[in-house]
Amino acid sequence: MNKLITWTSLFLASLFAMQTQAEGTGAGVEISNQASVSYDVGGSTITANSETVTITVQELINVTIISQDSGNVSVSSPETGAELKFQVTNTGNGNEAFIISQVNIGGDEFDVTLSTIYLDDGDGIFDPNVDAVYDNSAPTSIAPDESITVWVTSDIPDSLTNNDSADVQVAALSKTFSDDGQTNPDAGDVVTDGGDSTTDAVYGTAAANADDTATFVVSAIQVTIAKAISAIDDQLGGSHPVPGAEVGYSLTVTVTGTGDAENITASDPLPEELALKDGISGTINVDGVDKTAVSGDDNASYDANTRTITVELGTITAGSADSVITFTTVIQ
Amino acid sequence: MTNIKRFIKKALILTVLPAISVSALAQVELKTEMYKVVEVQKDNGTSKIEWVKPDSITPGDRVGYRIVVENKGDKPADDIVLNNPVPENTIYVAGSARGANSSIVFSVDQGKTFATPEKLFILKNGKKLPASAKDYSNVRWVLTSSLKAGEKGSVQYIVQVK
Repeated sequence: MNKLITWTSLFLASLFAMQTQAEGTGAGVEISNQASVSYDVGGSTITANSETVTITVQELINVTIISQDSGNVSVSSPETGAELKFQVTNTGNGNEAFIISQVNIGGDEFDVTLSTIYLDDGDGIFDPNVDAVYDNSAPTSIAPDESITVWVTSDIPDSLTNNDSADVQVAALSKTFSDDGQTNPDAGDVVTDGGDSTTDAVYGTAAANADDTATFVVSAIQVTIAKAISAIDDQLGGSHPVPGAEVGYSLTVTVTGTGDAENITASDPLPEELALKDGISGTINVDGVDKTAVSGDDNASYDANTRTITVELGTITAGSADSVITFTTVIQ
Repeated sequence: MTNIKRFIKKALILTVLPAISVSALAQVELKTEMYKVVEVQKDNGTSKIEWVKPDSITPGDRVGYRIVVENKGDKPADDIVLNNPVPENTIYVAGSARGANSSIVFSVDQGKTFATPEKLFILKNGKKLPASAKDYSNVRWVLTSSLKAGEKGSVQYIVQVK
């Protein structure tokens, strides 16, 4: 029985420790302070205490919203439901829900038609059939230190040209402040009794600056490269990939969309187990023409140190026939 | 058996003695005031620290405690030592403790021992490391002069809400 109590209190102690490690002291927690004094009068030592003063920690509403896309997001023109990914984190000390808004930012080439916002179901993959529509009239409550991922979708207009860009700013607003009619609160603004445990809700600096911008860039042209093994000859009459066997590869470069793709360079760093047959004395076939592997005399070359095959294909107009590069390697 | 007897005797002295002296001679009163410590920006671009009413305290805010000590008796009080544990959910703000005519010491072991900051150490992963302000559990002011009858003084320090 004693043992059980000890374990229970240990468990409670560790729970408490976990709570205090959160973003901040929870809303409604009381901070108490009592001072004491000892002194001597006529040789006797006396002690006394002050009254205990207590202050209640109020709810600090704080949030960050951060774009999760690495760099610009490529889109086609037109495109329906192009998505941007944002993470919303409650950095305050109470439970709070946030209204997510999106707006077109000026100073770019085009504006998008802002569409639906979705709440990610937890897998981090956008699927409008699975992820629920984010309901700004009843947004999800987020616990302190917890995050949600939202997908902000937009429709991209047609007739845009390559590299046109559009900035979309996404912002989070505290529901407590919105419900109070404060739609653009500054840091330090208060909703009396609006916080957890009937504390006041105080707007934090991060919340007052909770927005982030992501950029769509029209990519009217797409370049893809595919690699395949064309043949294996083990030099023994078979096709086993053993040391000394010759392995033929093909690289196929395809340009789709509209316009010209400029300065296309195909490169293929071979693994350590492979080398180009005959090294820099070998050949690389580009669209049916054998080119020397030596660098500088044509658009194909081989670097024996890095075992990298490089072919400069120059400008290719979208819709042109595929460029096919073939070469033979030897297993080391 | 002798040990137990000694222990009981000791315990009796410890519990009985202070009770007598307090009722007979209590005369120094202690009052703790609390404030919100804010940085106020001035028009000329500088800022100053102000202690204001403690409204809307949230994590990260600084709370200032002022402990007022007053001798309401008719005899001087000597060897005055003021103690204040750093409240839970707060950390002591380095260098914030003040007090005229006092030496200020701190504890990192819940008030068992006290020393000046450079002599405080904590154990971390079996290593003895210099303690920092966030490790302080108690603040102690040892007054270097007596408080005469009717005299008043104060000490103060600041904590930050975790």
